[in-house]
Amino acid sequence: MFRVLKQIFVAIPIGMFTVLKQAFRKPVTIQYPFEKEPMMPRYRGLHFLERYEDGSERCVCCGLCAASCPADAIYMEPAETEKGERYAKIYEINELRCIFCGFCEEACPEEAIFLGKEYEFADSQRDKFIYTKEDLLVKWPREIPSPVKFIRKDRRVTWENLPEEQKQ
Amino acid sequence: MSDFNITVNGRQVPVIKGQTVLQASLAAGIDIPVFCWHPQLVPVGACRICLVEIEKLPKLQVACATIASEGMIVHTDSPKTIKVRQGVLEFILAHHPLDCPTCDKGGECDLQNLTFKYGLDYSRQHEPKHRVIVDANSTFDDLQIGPEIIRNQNRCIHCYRCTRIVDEIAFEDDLGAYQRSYHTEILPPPGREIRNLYSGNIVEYCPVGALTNDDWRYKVRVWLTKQTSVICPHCPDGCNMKLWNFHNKLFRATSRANENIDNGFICDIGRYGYQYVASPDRIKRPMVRRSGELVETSWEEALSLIRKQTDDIKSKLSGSGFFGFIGDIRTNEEIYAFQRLLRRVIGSNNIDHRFHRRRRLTPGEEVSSRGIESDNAEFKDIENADVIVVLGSDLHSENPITSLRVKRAVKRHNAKVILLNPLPTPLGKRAATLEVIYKQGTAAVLLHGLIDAVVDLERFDPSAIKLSAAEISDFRKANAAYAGVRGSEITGVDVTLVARVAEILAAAQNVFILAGSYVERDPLRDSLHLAVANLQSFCKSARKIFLPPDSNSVGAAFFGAEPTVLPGRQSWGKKAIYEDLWHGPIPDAPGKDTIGILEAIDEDEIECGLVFNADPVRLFPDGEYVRSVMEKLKLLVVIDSFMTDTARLADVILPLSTFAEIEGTRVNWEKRMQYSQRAIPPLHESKPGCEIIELLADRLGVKFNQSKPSDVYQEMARFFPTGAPTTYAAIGRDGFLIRSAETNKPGKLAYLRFVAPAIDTEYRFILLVGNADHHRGTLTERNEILMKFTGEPFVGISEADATDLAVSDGDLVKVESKYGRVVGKAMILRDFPSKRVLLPENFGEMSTNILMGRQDKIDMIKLAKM
Ligand code: SF4
Ligand code: SF4
Ligand code: SF4
Ligand code: SF4
Ligand code: FES
Repeated sequence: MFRVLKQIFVAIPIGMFTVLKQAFRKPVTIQYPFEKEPMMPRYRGLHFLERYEDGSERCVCCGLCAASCPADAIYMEPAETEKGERYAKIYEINELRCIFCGFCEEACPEEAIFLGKEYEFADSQRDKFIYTKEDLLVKWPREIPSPVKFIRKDRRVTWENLPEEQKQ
Repeated sequence: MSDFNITVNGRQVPVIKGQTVLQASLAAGIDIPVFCWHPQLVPVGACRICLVEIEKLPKLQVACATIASEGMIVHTDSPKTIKVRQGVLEFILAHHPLDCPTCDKGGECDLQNLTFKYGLDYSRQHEPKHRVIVDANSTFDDLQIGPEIIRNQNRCIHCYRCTRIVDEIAFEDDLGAYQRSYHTEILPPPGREIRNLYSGNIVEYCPVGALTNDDWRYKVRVWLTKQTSVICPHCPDGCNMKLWNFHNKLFRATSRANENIDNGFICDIGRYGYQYVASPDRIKRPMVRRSGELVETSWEEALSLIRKQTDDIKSKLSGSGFFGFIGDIRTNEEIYAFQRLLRRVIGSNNIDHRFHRRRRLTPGEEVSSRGIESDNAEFKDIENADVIVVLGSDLHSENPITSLRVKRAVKRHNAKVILLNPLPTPLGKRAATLEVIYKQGTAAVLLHGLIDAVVDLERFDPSAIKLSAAEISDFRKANAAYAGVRGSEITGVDVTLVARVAEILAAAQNVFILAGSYVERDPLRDSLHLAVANLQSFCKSARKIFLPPDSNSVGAAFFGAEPTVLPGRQSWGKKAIYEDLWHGPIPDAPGKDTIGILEAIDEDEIECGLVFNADPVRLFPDGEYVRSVMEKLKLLVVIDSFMTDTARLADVILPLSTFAEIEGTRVNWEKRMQYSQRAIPPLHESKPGCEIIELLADRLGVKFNQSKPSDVYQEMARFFPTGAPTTYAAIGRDGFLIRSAETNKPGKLAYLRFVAPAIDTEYRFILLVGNADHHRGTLTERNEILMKFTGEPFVGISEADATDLAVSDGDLVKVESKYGRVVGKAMILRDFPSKRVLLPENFGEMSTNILMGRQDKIDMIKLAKM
């Protein structure tokens, strides 16, 4: 008897109070997809291929990313430009196989491939997950400033930036 | 074996006198890093990476050039040597561009590997790197220095392996090092390109990525590829190669050093020749002729058609109405299975592989020349000879690696090389002591004249040879018409030149005679074989080799692809053994050879042919005749990889896999049997030869259950000398020799009867068939890389004839014989004898066989400007 009365007059008002208290608090959930949280700085999402500041592709199709990839998600075929540069004629990542370990980014000697913050690339067909070079390369001209800070700005010491005394 | 020991890293290492510290250590399994050293090259000590510590010597020494001496105590891994290696690497890397991501050598680069092992992981160099700029527009300073080779000077570490290979091994002069210190550039001489036949080797042996070739450039990464060991199918030298494939696509061929044969160097024909495998011209599916047109069909339909038609012919003509031709480039297993199909299943002995033997032998000749075969000799014997006679062979393009051995003999102990040829050959300028040009068809006379000149010499010592005085004097008497001035009138060779050759031969201790394709094509082929044997009898110690025409001609002859012999070169009397083995009868009488077969078709005695990777229409003399005869056949089944001239006439074509898609064994000129792996699965719908033959046999009523080459090999193995391996796994790296026991016995002296061919006043030029630069036979014509070296087909003529006919280089000329004519661009050859015309046999658009008569002994033509 006493227990029933205690529930009615003590426990329920406490519970009601908690509900009322929370109802007037700022909510913690956000209205995804209308609102988005910023990602953690080291989050590893969809890959992108970077470019040099003149717009040319950084990737030289060396194959080290594919060699380091534990999921065997990367396929590429090299070719040559008329300037004698090596580039990727075909560069594909199968994002379904990818485990987002970031090894490719780690391995890349040209600082060409990065794992970005993009995570919204669900689709209904499996073959849509094979991202080609065109899908992966950053848009040019850039729409947003590059998120990565490069160490190396030039592909190679070129004629233009060669010290004068070496030009003879 | 060893003469004394040295101590390396505390271990006793045996040394043979004259060995360097490096060689002794490597042999004992102690690794010392190298860049510039190569086992086949003279050490130069250019790179200093091999520095080692030797006790009691004040400074570190280069292991590659320091001769080991008794009591040396060497440390190869002491802290001091490691530090020095780091220093050497730091110096090399100071000006190295570190293009590794783009560099084709990345993954198999000695510099990369050693830096990884010993190098520092930071650079102390802050100044800009020295850089050789070849073109302001190119990012990587690549320079094309030959049709196929690209140089990147920045990556060069100045080891001089490339220039030394070109100079010491190939005896060529189209690559050198210019300027000095780190300005040194590796370049061809001004105005020239590097395009020698061995140029691919410099790419393979450059320790870094300074030299690369178009073939491999920017195509695939080395760590992705798989390697298989194959035997080159392009010439009877039988070089060992590695094929590199990825996703069932071939990317390159490199050498697989075998000291018995190639010493690690292969020619460009082998290196780039694999490209025909992936050619878009391959026959992809079986084809049958329907209302005059060849149309693609299924295997099933093609096979049933063959079954139906052969049944008809068999009921009419029995087995003798069939014939089979098989090409000399197929494996032993295919050749064996093919002759078994023909003999046992079809019941015909009409089988041949000899399209190179272009003449019908007169009966007398055939009998007398029997037994004159190659002696038992190996590549190593060439190197040990002090006089090498090359008779009737453009050794350089026909047997490029044999030619390297000859050069090696010259390099190692100054061997004398005598060339006796109907035309000047590239080997002449490079390694020959004396080059003799005889008139085509008179080689036998030349040899007899030479023998006479040898006997005439004061220093000739009859006691050194195995002939009695009576034999010698009889021989000289019979020979009088060919000796001295009278001989020289026939051969066109100066008497004094013959005397000089005789002088060298008389002084020789150890002679090696290499007889090549011009001997096989000689009008007096068999007398010439006898003449070679005679010459051998007059030398103190001599071996002779008749170089076979194609990569597996020796195997084809051994495994029964000839009408008169059974596998294992058994005579007809042993027929019963084979009937036992194959569980059924084989025909009684020996069959017809190539000419006999063609004539029998003409007389309607033969109505059906199986042509297995052979192209008689393109190769056999009188192409038009062969074509017309082949057209008469009721059923022509061609099993081939390409649409050859013969295949165009076929009623049924079955697609055949090429050498990279099959496994099997081949026999080179040494009679060395070697095993070749399968690199990739058969392309398109093609099938390996053994499988096709098994399918055919099954369809025609006999099952052998041997569609795998390894099964066929086990059956073949019973014909090998005792102790020979009976499985592929047992063959091993060196292969094994399948020669008979009896060796090097020159027979009795044979006398020559020379009748000069009648001179036709209209056709005054002699036709010589040869090879274009970087080509060999007909397999190479579909090869884009080799075509870069050659360009177009040409008609080679002498300077004198060019002036006579007012022809200049590149003019169109017409070459005409009684049988046909071809038109081509003239190429004026320096030092070429007049009244001869050289035509390459490598081009489909200019087939040489239509100019030849099948009965003629010598091919006479006329030449006119268009
Ligand atoms: S993130 Fe890892 S799994 Fe994904 S592609 Fe890169 S290396 Fe491969
Ligand atoms: S992304 Fe980087 S590691 Fe991958 S191929 Fe391109 S350059 Fe090489
Ligand atoms: S030569 Fe070797 S070290 Fe030099 S760039 Fe090429 S792979 Fe790298
Ligand atoms: S090009 Fe290669 S082989 Fe030739 S010297 Fe330079 S590093 Fe050596
Ligand atoms: S390997 Fe000895 S100095 Fe180069």
